[in-house]
Amino acid sequence: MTKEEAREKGNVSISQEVVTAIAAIAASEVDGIFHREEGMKRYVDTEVEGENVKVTVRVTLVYGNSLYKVAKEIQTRVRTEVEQMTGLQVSGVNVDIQRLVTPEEQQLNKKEEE
Amino acid sequence: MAEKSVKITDEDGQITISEEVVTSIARIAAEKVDGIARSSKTVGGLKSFFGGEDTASTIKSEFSDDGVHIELTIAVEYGYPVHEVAQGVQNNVQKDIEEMTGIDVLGVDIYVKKVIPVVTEKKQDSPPEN
Repeated sequence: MTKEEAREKGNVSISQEVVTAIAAIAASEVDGIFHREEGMKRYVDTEVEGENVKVTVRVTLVYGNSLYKVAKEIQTRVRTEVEQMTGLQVSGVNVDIQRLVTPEEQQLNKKEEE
Repeated sequence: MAEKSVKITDEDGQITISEEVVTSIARIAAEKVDGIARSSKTVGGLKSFFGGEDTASTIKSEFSDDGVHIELTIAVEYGYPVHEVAQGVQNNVQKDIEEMTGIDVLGVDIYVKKVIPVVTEKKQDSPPEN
């Protein structure tokens, strides 16, 4: 489940947890997503196989945006950040849009967390 | 009940839009129409508003290969032309689902089940006492 990178100086391995955390933070930065980054990790699954990683993100989005565009943005950002920060190849990012909330609910949620 | 969803797959991965999401869009879109009666005007408005019934039984989304078919049961506030409210709901629901998900809306069936008298606004019209 870890990346073993053979180097002259030794091995570098990156735990799956790190990959999941990076994917979660990347996804939570996208506009139109309901989750805050602290709570995002449990909605992210990663499967690491050798140099390849497959990411699945289950999200709640905010009403009013094009859900397809938001999902595309999540795919792009997760792929870019995981690849840049870990050196792994992202073979795919699945976005599972499970729920929708209104902008008012998002505001309420933000206030409660503050 | 089997979980239904729409899946869009390309080289980036798979995007899945659940039936619950499509139903939520329909509900919020319907709620924006003037003359729709809401039983609870809570912030967020996702609570049941169709005559106080369980919303699960009032909005149905049926997916097929070509798109989605929506069935809504609504209540209309007294004083609004019922057929215009219903048409407004049809237009709003179709527009929002197509714009937000890209899924084709094959039809929006409306069943107007109730007319709700508007209590709060009538109070303002009543003459002051004495």
